[in-house]
Amino acid sequence: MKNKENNRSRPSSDFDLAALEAVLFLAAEPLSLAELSNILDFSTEQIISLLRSLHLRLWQAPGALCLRQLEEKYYLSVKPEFQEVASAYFRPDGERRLSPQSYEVLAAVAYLQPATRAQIEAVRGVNSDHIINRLQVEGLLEEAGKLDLPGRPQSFKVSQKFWQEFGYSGVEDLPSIDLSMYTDLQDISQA
Amino acid sequence: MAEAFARDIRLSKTNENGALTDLAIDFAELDLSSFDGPLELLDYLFKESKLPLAEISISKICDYYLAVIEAGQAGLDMALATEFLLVAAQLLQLKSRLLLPVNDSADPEADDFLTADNLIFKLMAFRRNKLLAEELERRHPRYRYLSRVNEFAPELSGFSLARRKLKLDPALFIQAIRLLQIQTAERFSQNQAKFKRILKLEPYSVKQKLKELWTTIADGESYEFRELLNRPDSLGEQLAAFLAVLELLRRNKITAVQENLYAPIIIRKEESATTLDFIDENWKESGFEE
Repeated sequence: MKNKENNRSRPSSDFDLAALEAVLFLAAEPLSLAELSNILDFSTEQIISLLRSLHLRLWQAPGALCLRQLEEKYYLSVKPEFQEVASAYFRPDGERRLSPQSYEVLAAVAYLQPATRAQIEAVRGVNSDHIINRLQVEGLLEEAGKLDLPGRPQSFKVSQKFWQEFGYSGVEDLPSIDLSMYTDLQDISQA
Repeated sequence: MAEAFARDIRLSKTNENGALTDLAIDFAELDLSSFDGPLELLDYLFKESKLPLAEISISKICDYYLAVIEAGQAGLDMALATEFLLVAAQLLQLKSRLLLPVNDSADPEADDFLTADNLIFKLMAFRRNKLLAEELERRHPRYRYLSRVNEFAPELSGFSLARRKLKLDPALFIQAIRLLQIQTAERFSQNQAKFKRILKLEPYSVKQKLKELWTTIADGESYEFRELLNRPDSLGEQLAAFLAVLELLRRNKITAVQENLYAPIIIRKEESATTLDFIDENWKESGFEE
């Protein structure tokens, strides 16, 4: 939809807003400001303005779509109130759910990343190799390179799919629970 | 922060009369396999005490943990049992350190040194991770399917994806093939040389080495092990000579003394030994074969 001949200097709201929406709908992955700027032939500031307008318009409209941010990228998603409908469509009978142990590994990696197998095991108290391998197959964990430590251990981080499937925009969006906020385990359990 | 949690953790739970009380847990009824690991069991024991951390007896928790392990380890998966037993050993060490006077020479920073503070921190990190995992588990069904990509969206919308045409330069392609051939041949020849070195048999046998050693030490003098080798850098000879020394020791033909770790091995013929009478043409004992 790039119109090189027009060389628009500022977005004319309705059409360009719709153009942004079209690009995000067709894209197979979240798009960065630079990518959107290149496609739509606008500056990044103009893209940001369009994104804000699109976000407001979609959220206030009775429709199902909304704009979400993933780190520094943007994508169209479905509003949370439609999760049952989405589940009914995407979840065929017998699709495997994640185990509680898998969520524990994901939590450990999300907060520690990059995290080695040993670090994950230190938090959980048990070997987690099998779960880590399975989460890699599921696409929720990915390798984050080898650390400059004895043995050059492999480290892991959560994937883009993890942020999308849990509705977070990035590390900063994770709820913060600081150990120092609590004086003992009872406080934590009641938090 | 460590100091805040370390204050007076040696007090045991007491009832209103000041007497020590125990947790109301029937260890025999606890199913050890229902715990994912030792930290979960420890966390359970701490929670059962219903006391602030400062009033929990680490020593008592150690006792409870060991009692649970003892009652429930039968039939437990070997790998999981190992995890539980490792922590049991660490807790025993911790308990013994709490009971004994403080040793200034002990290194509290050693990685395998489980202190009461370390234990508490481990449990707090474990508990925190559990809470975060529960939050993820609650959140996942809500967002899981909201961002699935509709890969057919472009086509369904009437757009055909243009295929990117790769520009292929035949000359560059052929050059790349030739370069790959050269690299592969070079790697193969290197591997071939390595294999030849590995497969090359060095002409040393234990039987031959036995005879050589015996000839050398027959004068009754003391010799360093390395002095008895013709080629000290030859791994094959070292191995054959070492096996020969072991056999001679087993037969009480020699003495071998090493005063300290990594010190030279001093070999000397036993005074009572006169011949290698155990070697004959058919000698193949002790698994030594030529």
